[in-house]
Amino acid sequence: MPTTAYTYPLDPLNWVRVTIHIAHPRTVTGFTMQYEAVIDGRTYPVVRYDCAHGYPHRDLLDAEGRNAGKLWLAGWDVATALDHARKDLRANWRAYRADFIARMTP
Amino acid sequence: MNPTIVERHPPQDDGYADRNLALLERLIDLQLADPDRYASIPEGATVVIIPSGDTEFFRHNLNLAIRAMLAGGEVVLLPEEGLEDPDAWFVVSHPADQPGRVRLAVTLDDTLLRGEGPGQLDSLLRLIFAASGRERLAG
Repeated sequence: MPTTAYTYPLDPLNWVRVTIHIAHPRTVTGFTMQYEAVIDGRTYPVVRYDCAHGYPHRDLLDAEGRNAGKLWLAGWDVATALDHARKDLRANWRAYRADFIARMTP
Repeated sequence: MNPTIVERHPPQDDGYADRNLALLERLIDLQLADPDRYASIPEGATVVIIPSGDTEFFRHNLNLAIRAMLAGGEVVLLPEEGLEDPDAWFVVSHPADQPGRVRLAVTLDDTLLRGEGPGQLDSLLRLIFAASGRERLAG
């Protein structure tokens, strides 16, 4: 089963971490897409889509890596969830970054 | 206004992040269509697509690749025109394994910022690989 796992820099301050598991011939069986932000020189995972715990879901993370909000994509197959994750990160990464920074601010 | 908070935001939004997201989407589409072809990307590597046709974007992404190379780990360079051709890909070793070569990589970074363009891709890649160690990913 081909698996690819890599990070992709969008610019020096914004990264996406991608893992995709594919069964033959072309069935997505699992994935992780995680947007990471570099803030004050430190890299933080900000939002993560994956299939851990058996179902696709989105985790919003805080500066300590704790879950600040989980959204279950109940009933979605893995490929549909991956497609949603891609669209959501593309449309909303700036908002995720801004919200993360707002959560950091005391 | 708290100046610390201001510093946490990117100093300017030049649009390259969105353009890189579009390139990443293309890469993922290609992976899904032909997963075996992309299984040779080393696990945990940093992947940078080197765009064609736009000198500033080319320079931006080559600079990202060099930063990643200096930070550590393996960096896979995928020329945009060769996304589907593993023979066009390169994996660049971490120069920390070759400390004598880091200075040259930093010098190249400065040079790139001043203005090389897509036409010099081959010669630039040769210089970078000479600086950091070069290994074809496939072929």
